[in-house]
Amino acid sequence: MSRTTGAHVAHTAGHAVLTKAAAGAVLTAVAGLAVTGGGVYALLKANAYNATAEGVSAGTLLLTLTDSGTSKGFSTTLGSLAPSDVVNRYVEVKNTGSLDGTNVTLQLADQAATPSLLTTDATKGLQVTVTPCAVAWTFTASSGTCSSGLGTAVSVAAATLRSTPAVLDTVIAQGTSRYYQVSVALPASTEVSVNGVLPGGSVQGLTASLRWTFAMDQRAATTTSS
Amino acid sequence: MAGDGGARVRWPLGAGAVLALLLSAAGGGGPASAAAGSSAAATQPVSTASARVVVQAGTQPASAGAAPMVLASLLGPQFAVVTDLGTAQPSKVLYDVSGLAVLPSVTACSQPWTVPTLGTPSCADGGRALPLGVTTADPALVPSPARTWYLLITGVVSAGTLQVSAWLPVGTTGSS
Repeated sequence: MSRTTGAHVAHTAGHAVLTKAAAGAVLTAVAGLAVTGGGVYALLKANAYNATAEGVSAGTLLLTLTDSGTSKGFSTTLGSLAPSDVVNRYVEVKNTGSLDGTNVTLQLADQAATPSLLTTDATKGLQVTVTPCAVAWTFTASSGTCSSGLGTAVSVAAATLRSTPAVLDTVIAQGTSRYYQVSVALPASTEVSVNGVLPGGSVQGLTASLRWTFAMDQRAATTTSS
Repeated sequence: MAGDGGARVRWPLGAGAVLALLLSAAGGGGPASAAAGSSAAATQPVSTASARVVVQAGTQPASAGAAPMVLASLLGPQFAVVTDLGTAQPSKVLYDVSGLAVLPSVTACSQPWTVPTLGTPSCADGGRALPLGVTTADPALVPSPARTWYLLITGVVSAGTLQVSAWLPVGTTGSS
């Protein structure tokens, strides 16, 4: 019994000795692999970069609207219009951004609380004619002259212009201006007021508050190589 | 001018473009598409003229009666005032009577008529006869918002009415 026990102890002790030896071998192998592996992943690398940083900037698209020259532009009232009256005003629209613009449009809004026939009736209401020019218009009390680069006039009812923008120009290069003659007319009509009473549906004594909005889109996006 | 203050810019990324950018960064979707637009605006008041001429019974605008003026069958003179409540100088005018078999005599004066106790009313500027039923553009006969006509009506043999019609002026073209 005791012998058997002694042999077991000896066997156990021998087994422990073998285990330590194996562990040492494993550690040695791992260390070897680590050394070998380190050699595999330690590649040579090289970088190159531009010594001078490449600048990048986004363009701007900016539009301004001003009275052209001595014209009253849109800053003063068109007062007491009578049938067949035409009032010409002159404005300058400038692309002050760094990008070319395209699709220059004009849209109208009536800021009155309740728009009148002037801007709701395409027949009896105001009629708008916009004529582009490459240079500033010169004008007298009754007419205007475009000395160079006369564009195609666009005529549209104010009522229509409220819902559908009119295209005035296809391109407006950055840093350049377009000059527009904006003619507002009250169509000819016959109305008779009797004993101080205006006829029904009269265009007399009406008001409007016109908001003229010129707009443009950016030029078409491009892909370039150089 | 107002337009300067009204300028506004839309630049460019809306919610859709932002989503497209995120999708692009995640490896999905296409490249972001963002268009830029710019606008400038100005506001301009507009008003139309009106022509509203009234003829009323009376000798002064402040005490005038209702329009149109009702003519009574009187042997004596009757007085009326013509005022223009409109905003524009009419281009022509029509004075007319209705309900009368015989046209009365109507004389316009730029000032109130002087009515003596006995005798005929007189006008400081001599007065001018108004043509009835005839449209006229005579500046001396066309009313104006700036002045009042005083009428002397005589020879009314039956009841009727006197009325006045006014037209807006012919259009003009102006640049400014």
